Amino acid sequence: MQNLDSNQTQFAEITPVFESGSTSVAPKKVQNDEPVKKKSNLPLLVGALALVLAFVFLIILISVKLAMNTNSENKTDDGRIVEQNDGQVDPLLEEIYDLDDQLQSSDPTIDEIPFPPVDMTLRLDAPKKK
Amino acid sequence: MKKTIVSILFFLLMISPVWAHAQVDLISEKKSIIEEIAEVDRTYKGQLAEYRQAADQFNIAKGQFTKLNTLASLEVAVQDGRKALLLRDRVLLTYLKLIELKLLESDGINLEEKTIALDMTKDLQQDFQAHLDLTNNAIDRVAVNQVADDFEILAPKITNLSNYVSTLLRIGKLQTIYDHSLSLVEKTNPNAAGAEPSLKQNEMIRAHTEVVNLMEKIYTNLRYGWDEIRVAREKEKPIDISKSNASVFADLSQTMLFLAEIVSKR
Repeated sequence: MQNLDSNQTQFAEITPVFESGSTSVAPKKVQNDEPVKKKSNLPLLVGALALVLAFVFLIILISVKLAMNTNSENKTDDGRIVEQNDGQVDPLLEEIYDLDDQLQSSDPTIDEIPFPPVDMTLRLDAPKKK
Repeated sequence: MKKTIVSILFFLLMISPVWAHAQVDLISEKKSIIEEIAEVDRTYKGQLAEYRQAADQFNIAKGQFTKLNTLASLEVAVQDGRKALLLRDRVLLTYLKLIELKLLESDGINLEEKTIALDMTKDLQQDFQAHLDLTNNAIDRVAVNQVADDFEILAPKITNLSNYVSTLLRIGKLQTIYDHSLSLVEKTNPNAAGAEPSLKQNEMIRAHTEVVNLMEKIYTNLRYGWDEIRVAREKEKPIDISKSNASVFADLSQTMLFLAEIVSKR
C-alpha cells in the first residue's frame, strides 16, 4: 500500500478497476461459492458414513466368524475339547482320548475270537455205551 | 577319566545302531504278525463256510441213511461224514493258529502265562494235525466212527484252551491300558516338579488323589484276575473273571474322564 500511495500514476490506473470490480464481480463470487461448497460436502459425508458402516459390519463379521471357528475347531465329532483357547491341541488331552478309544475297543464283554460255531458232537453212529 | 568318557561314548555310538535296528525289527515283526492274522482270519472264515455246507450235507445224508437204510445211502453218509469231520478239524486247527498269533501280538499278558498258553496252543495244534491225518485216512464206517470217538478227547481240551486264551487276551488288553494310564496319571500330578502353584492347586490335588485311588482299585482287580487265571490253569478248571474285568473296564473309563477333566481345568 505504501508503494501504491507513493506511485500516483500506478494508483490512477488501478483504482477504477478496483472500484468497478468491487461493485459488480465480488458479490457474484460470494453467491457462486456457497452452493458449490454444500454440493461437495454431502457426498463426502455419505461416503464417510458408508465407510464407517462397512468397517463396523466387517468387524462384526470377523468376530462372528472367529467365534464360529473357535466353537467348531475346539471340539471333535464326539464333542470332546481338544484345543486350547489359543488354537493349539493339548497333547496330553489327545493322549487321554487316544487311550480312551483304545479302551472302548477293549470291552471285556466282547469276545474278539469267539469259539468256532462247529458241531462238537458230529458223528455217524451213536457212541457205544460203556 | 577322559579315557573312560571316550570309551563310554564310543560304546554308546557302537550300540545305538544295533538298538535302533532291534527296534525296527520289533516293529516290522509286529506288522508281519498283524498281516498274518488278517490272512489266517480270511482262511478261517472260508473254511468255516465250507464246513457249514459239509455239515448240512452230512446231516441230510445221515437222515437219508436212517430212513432208507441202504448200502448206497450208507456210503454217501460215510463219505459226507468223513468230509464234515475233516473240515471241522481244519477249522479248529486254523482257529488254534489264529489264537496263537493273537497271543504273540498281545502286549499286556503276563510273560509266564503267555509262554504257557503258547506251548499249550502248539501242543494242541499237533494233536489236531494228527487227528486230521487219521480222519483223512478214515474211509469206512468203523474208521469214521473211530475218529469221531477220538475227537471226544480233544473237544474239552480245545474248549478249555479257548476259554483260557480268550481270558488272557481280554485281561491283557486291560492291563496294557492300565500301564499306559499310569504314565498319564503321573503327568497330571499337580505335585510333580515344575508344576506352577495356583489358586486351584488344592482342588487339583484332591482330584488327583481321586484318580490315584481309582488306579489302586484297578490294580487290585487286575491282580485278582491274574491270580484267578493261574489258579484255574493249575487246577484245570474253567476261568471266570468277567466280574473283575467289568469292574476294571468301568474304573478305567472313569479314570479317563477324570484325567480329561483335570487336564482341561489346568
